[in-house]
Amino acid sequence: MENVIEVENLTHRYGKQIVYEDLSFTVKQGRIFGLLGKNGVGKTTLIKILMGFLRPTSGRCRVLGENSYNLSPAARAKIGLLFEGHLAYEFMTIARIEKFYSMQYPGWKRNMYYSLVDKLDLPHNHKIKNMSCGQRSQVVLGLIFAQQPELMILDDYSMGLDAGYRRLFLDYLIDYVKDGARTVFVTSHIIQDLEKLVNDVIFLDRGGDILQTSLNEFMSAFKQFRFKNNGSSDRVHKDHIIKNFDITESTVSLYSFEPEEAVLRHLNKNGIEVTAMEQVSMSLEDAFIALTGKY
Amino acid sequence: MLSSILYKEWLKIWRYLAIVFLFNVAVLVYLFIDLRHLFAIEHAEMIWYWAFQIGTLHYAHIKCLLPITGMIIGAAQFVPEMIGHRFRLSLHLPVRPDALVLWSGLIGLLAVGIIGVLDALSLYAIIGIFFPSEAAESALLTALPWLFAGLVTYLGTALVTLEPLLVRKLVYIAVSAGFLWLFYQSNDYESYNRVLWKLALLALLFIPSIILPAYRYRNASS
Repeated sequence: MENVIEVENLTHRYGKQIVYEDLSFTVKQGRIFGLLGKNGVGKTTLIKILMGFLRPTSGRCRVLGENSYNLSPAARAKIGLLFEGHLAYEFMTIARIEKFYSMQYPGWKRNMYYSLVDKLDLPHNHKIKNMSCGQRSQVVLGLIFAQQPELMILDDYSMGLDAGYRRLFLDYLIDYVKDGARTVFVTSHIIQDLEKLVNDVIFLDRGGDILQTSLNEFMSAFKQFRFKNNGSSDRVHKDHIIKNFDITESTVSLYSFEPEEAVLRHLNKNGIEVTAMEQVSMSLEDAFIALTGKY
Repeated sequence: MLSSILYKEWLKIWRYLAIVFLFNVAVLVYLFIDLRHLFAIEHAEMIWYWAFQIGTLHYAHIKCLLPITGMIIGAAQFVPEMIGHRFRLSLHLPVRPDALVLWSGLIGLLAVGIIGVLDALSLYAIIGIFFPSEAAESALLTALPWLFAGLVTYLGTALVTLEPLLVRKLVYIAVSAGFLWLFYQSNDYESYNRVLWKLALLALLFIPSIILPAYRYRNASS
């Protein structure tokens, strides 16, 4: 199967409020996809649609070749879901939750679960409800790994995790998917973590506008240029060349997918005086904020 | 699949099951002591007169016993699933959602039913100690509606707990309470003998009805 997730002309509304209109994208097998977007653009809604917890207003959403809203038990067995907040059965203990899930999945790898969970150095009769968010995240990740899913959908895995637990989570995840057979669809508020993890990114904007690209392509194509603010910066505005800009008293920063020469020509054409323009490197987080804006 | 559902439901209810079992035992022991006390302080012919001429029920203690049991077991099973939307975890399991909910319901129903059967047998035995066997049989038939009320309370609790929408919850509460009310319309001996099987058949409709709020929950989890 080439495409693990196929979204075609997806439209979703809450009452009169349109969340997406004609949203389309695909997720290929063996890739790690990061879904990025500011709060309120509908990331969680999209995850819910993919998980089958929400029926879209119109359009097609297929996961592992099946309609996401009517996934068969066999398809669900191949999907590992991490719910926002590391949701788990809190009335269970470390051992009991493993026993329960092992009964559900035929390819269950008990060792994978305990290799992660034993790092917590907690007795196996320790209840999930008495764990910190970070400890619970290890249990949930261990359960997903032991399930051996073909597709992982991780909804904001970083929520509530400190830097150490986030790093541990990522280290295990990167190791788990390194054979290239498994697909990961992930959202996170910690953009810099995704820079080390994802192959492809989907930037989701209000109304369902998206930019789907590989991370490398995006990071090489999207550039930041900086020059001295000499008074003509009030003529800078967003357009097809300048995707965003930041103006301080001393400098002007422009963000664009165009090469330096094209940006310079465009600025000169608009009567903006440019001296000592330089390209400045950006992290994924810088680029994300530059593309989607701070507010 | 069934064994895993049974395992999960057991983990949720076993403590509560133990508590309600002890509660049921305590009430039945109290019934026994109460009857023994009655026979110790009153003449037998007086008790006979109260019981069989006036129609006083000497075992009304157990009227609400199984409904309380049903409510506690229903809440123990489904409230933990609803807290923090954990029911989504269950709905993602590789099991058909309707089968999942039905099996969970049947497991709870079985737990309440077993306690109901123990109550019925205990009632038969206790009444049989103090009264003739005909009176024990009559007590069983008189108490059957209350035991069915326990099963209906369990299913009503499941229905109300699983339903995501407040307005519908209130409707289900009203429907369940109305149905329960039917089981408590008479204090006479064996007054439900001719209608009980019809009420029981009607109560069976509650079983598949708990699938609907589960599907609605999936839609409403947004």
